Amino acid sequence: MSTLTSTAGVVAIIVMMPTIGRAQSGPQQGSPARMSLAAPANLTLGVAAGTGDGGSSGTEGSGVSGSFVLDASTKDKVGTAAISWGAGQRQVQIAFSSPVGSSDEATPISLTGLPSGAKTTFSFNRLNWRGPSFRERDEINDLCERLGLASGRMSIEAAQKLKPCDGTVIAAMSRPDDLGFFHELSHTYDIPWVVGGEVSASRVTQKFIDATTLVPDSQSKTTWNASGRVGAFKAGLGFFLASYSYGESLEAAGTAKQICRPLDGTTVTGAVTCSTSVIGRPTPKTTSVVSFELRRFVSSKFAWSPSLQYDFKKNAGGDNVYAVEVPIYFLTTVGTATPTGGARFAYRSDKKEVTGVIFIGSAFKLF
Amino acid sequence: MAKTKLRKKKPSQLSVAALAPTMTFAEAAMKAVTFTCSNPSSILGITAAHVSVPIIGSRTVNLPFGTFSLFWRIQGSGPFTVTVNGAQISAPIAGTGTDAGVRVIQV
Repeated sequence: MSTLTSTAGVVAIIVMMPTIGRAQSGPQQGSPARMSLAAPANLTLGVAAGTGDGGSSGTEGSGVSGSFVLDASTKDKVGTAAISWGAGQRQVQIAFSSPVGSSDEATPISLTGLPSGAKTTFSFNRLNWRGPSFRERDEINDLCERLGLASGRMSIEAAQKLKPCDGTVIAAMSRPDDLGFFHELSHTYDIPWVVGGEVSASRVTQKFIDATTLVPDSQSKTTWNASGRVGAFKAGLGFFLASYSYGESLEAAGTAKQICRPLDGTTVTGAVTCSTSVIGRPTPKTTSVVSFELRRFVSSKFAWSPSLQYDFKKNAGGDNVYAVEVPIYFLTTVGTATPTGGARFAYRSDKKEVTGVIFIGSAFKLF
Repeated sequence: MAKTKLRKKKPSQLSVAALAPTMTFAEAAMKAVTFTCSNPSSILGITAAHVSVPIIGSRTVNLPFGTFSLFWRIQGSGPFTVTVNGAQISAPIAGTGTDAGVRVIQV
């Protein structure tokens, strides 16, 4: 079994902690912390992010939220505790993760996958879409009143007696100039865009067997990674994101092999003991990965976020590695972005095989 | 030098006072108002009082008590309905695709 296929069966279990803030009536299912952490680490925007603005859900101006996530594969279990805060379009998060129980060597499913060591991450995201200024709001209200539509200056009772001042209503009045002016003032067609970044440090330990003595050994190293991302929203397409990350990691000397040695303490001829291990000391590796990702809802019950990653640094075999990931989210509640599970398919050019992973509890958000 | 500083301050003071004479938000009592868009693939923008935020799905914003303009805009494809909890608006917000509009909101 390769290191890639050994990660099949990843699940994510989410336990939400209560939101602490001035306003308590916000929807808990959409809290920024959950959105950022609930998806597998390399699928989220702010990590989609680490914090993802976690998305736009949450409480404007409210304080702090916390979360705990457990990611588990057939070999590794990693618990992550995170604290998020922010206001409006900004979201900041600090996350701490650590292996739970025993662990073998790091087995990332993708180029930016989850390592099996303790990790601290600081990330931020901002979603930008400018609204009308005070002066533009005044001009919009002037336009609405001139057209005989309900303006924002009226009392609510007076406004209810008139047609609402909407783009569709103005369009139906066959006034293209007024419609264009209205949308210009409203910034309707300005492009929403996101910007974010992340810095992380992790402690990675890889077990191996010395190539010359066949003695089991391990090597630990503190690795770091920094990344930045930018993306834009296109109606009908979703969010298109481009990101770049640079960091250090430990690269295994090869895939794990079965090693059999004479069994100590017995006189039986041919008795051996066998174990599966990587032969050879891991080597430090620098990663320089660019990735492109599309995040979109296909329908109210189905979403996906295909991504392409490419490492500019050559691996031990002298090749540049690329990976393709296609996570598919199955949403259970119509009209919300809260899924309960999905499937993820990944291909790494160095492994030359497609891996399928299922996960539960992962939230999907455009941002 | 003192005159120059005074001149620089005047335009901003005048514009805020002239355009939003009742909006001293920092001192006003606030209420949590939740906006939810039924179409998760659309992005909704809300501008009201001192708040201007993009929303995907649902978001709660703190708005001051009172009656004022609510400016909304949405980009996306397919039908949408925006529900507002915690405040009353002058007319429902619904439609298809990309649009914008104005409402009166009473918090």
